[in-house]
Amino acid sequence: MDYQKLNLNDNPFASTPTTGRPIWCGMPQLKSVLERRLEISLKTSPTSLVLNWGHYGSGKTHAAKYFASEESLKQIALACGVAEPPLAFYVNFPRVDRGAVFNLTSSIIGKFGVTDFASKLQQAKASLDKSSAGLFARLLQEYCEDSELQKIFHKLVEGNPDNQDRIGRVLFGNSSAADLRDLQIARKPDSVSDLCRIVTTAFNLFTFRSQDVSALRPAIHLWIDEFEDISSLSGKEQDALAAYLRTLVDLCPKYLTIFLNFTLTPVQQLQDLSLYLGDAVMSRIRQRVEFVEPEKPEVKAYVREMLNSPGIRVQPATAGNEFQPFDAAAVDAIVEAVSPRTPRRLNEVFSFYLDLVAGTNSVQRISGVMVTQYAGEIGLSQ
Amino acid sequence: MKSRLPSNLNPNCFEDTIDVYSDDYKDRFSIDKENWGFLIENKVPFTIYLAVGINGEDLEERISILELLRIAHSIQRETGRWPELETEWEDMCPGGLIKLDVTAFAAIPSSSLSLPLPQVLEMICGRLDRARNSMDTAFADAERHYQRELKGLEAFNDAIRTMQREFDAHPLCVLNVNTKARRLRYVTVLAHFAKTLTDSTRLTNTVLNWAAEHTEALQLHKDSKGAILPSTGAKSVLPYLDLAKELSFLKSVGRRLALTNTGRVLPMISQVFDEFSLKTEERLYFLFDLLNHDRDLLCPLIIQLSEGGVQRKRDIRKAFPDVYKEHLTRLREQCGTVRSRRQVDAALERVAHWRSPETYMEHVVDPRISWLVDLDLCTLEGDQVSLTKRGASFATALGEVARSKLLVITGDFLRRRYFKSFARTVEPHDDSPKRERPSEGELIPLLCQCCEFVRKNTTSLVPNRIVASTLFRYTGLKLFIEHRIAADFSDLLKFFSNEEKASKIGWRLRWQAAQEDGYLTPIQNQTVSNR
Repeated sequence: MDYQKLNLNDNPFASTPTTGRPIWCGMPQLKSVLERRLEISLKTSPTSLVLNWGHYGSGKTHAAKYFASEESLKQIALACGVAEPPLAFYVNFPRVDRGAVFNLTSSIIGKFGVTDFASKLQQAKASLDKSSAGLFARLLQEYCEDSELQKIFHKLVEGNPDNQDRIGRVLFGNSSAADLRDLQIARKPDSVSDLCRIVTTAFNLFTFRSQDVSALRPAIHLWIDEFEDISSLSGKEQDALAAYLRTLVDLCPKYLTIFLNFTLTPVQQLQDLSLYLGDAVMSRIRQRVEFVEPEKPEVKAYVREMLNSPGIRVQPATAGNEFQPFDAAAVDAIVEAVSPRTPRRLNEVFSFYLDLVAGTNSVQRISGVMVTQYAGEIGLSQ
Repeated sequence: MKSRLPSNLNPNCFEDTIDVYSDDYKDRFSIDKENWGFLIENKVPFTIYLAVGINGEDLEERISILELLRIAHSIQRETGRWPELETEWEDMCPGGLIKLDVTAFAAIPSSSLSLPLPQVLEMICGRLDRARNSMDTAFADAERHYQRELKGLEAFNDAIRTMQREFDAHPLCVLNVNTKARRLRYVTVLAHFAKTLTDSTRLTNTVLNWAAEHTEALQLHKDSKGAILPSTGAKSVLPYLDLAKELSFLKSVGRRLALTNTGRVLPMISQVFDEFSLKTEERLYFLFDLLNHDRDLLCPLIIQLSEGGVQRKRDIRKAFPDVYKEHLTRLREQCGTVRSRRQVDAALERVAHWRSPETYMEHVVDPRISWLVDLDLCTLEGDQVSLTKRGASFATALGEVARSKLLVITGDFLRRRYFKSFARTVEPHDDSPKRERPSEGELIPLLCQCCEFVRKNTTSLVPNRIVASTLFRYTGLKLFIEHRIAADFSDLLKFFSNEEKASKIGWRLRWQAAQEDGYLTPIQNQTVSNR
């Protein structure tokens, strides 16, 4: 593909979020709603559950990745006058036949890695014990309750590198009897409540603060993508997962924000949602954010920003030429015909025309006529 | 007119054997042969068109133009190229003609063009006759290919094309339900309780209790079959749950049940029910969905009832397989794609292999007669079945659609024509003439009331948002019954899509073409998020 002739280094319209640092283009209203929610999580203490809902391809995954990135969180923390950014996790909904809860917990711990998990706990212990000797142990007892689970945390903060693999196997559910014997732990953590206790104890320790202790992290953000897949689980698994979420909120009553990305169409009813999530989870939802289809002017702003996002242009576009290589008529024709106007669909259509021109010799502009000519191939209404 | 064609193909040389008219103005010859009309251009290479006169306004023209499209498809299959098709409008008078280049039929084998014109014409006619008789040729590809050339013809307007596409996508509409699901009242009751109960066990138990309390009411009904019996337990509710799902009133979400956007309308129109007779609103509501989901059994059954006068059930069952076969054969002719025709063929094949149809028909005919009794379209006296006055009037309307061979009653057809074509035959307002076109001033307050009612009775994901399909179904019924206005789904969609009109109602529609549905928000209150 020859994008250079179009004054582009690459095609910016990927149909799914790409790897690397995500950028945000267009849809300022949605961005501001989400930023506001993140700011609330830094400025207030109660744990909250937020439901992000919208069409397939409406940008939920992208938003999760964008707002779970360290850079975005640093900016938000800075704006709120908070030194440290929140600790954010982006996890996909567990696509398994059995053990969804275990899989979800593993995904969360897996995001740290056992070494980092242990290191963060050690930092928390050092900070807590510095303020008051034995505070870490007291908090551990308060948050964890179960003595066998407490032992796992004690082993983690011991910092014995020989034990790390064994503890990893315990946390990820692969431990053998020998592992448990060597660690002097009497039983595996395998119930929903055990798994919840492990995650929430860690979250509570990372965010604990008092007059003398400043928190390791101001808040925890957990983004769970594609939560609508809960309908594909068996009834027992659905119940377990709903119970897990409810317990997570109940055992971690402060500084945790869970974002559930849920594909729903705007013509669905509240009842549909409660059928998926169950009453217990529904009653804990504090905000529902709709990923609404952008209006036509917003679509244009989105396309303009995408084409001129950092690193995309070979040479900065001249004034009045920001849509290059698209003619104004071409942009108008696409914006008028595209349906649904979701970012994924927009990316699909703009990418199609961009690739068409990049792969065709001696063509450097996309005109309105060209859009009409190839509309059928990309499913645009004519 | 001086011919520029070679002598063997010059029509002037064969005036004694063929009927030729020389059109000097257009420089071509017009020839009628064996019921086909041809045009031969007065130039080389030899080009011959098959021509059909049109006025561009009649839907009936679709039949003759589809014949051209089938022929075009045959040529395309044989030569790999689509022949030229052109619409030619007259300059000085209304109407015109549509012409298809059929030279390929004369040019294969290539030596054919050395034959004298009468023989060439004979060869073309033979091949056209074969194409006409072979209804196996699909026309959907040709219709798509000649989209531009057919533009402006009423017979190929957007509505007709959408209906055809919808029919080809789902050529058979038959409900697969248990024979015990007879009483539509139970479906209303299910929908009513499903508003709040989503657990299927609790829902079936509640319906079971309602049925137990209304045993006497069922005995008093015109047809008491299909009882939900407390002694049989939840099992006797299941056929009705299945019927509600098949009619798309209820849907399974995970392990639970929820009303669909159209299902939500049912509890809105029937809030009090103590007897098994249905209210007008309910009858019109059910008829729409039964036609939408069970067209291919219900329509032939009604037509059979209208043709046979008072009939015994046993005789209806005996005759129905042939009636159904006839209906499928008619349907087959309207298939635009190979895939849709294969599906109809498979159904015809199944009918041919029905063993002891009299017994089997009990499961097909009897529940439908019970539904028609509930809809007040037929009466049942012992074993004798006959159509009511409403039923007879409805059968006439159905017969007209069937005989026209133009349209199939698809969901899209019903969304465009249900109130205008059918509802008025089923529920005539005898006392006063129907007003189909009320003024905007009359309509707007009524629509405002409907929006407000639906808003209060549904809970959308965003406060104050209402779902278009729920609103339009409810509004259509309300306007028809209370205000004698026949406003179909598509009329309401058009009305609300007009921003100026919608702003007068105070609601803004966002239509989602991919979902074939949309939602409305109050104009003064638009938000992207809510607490």
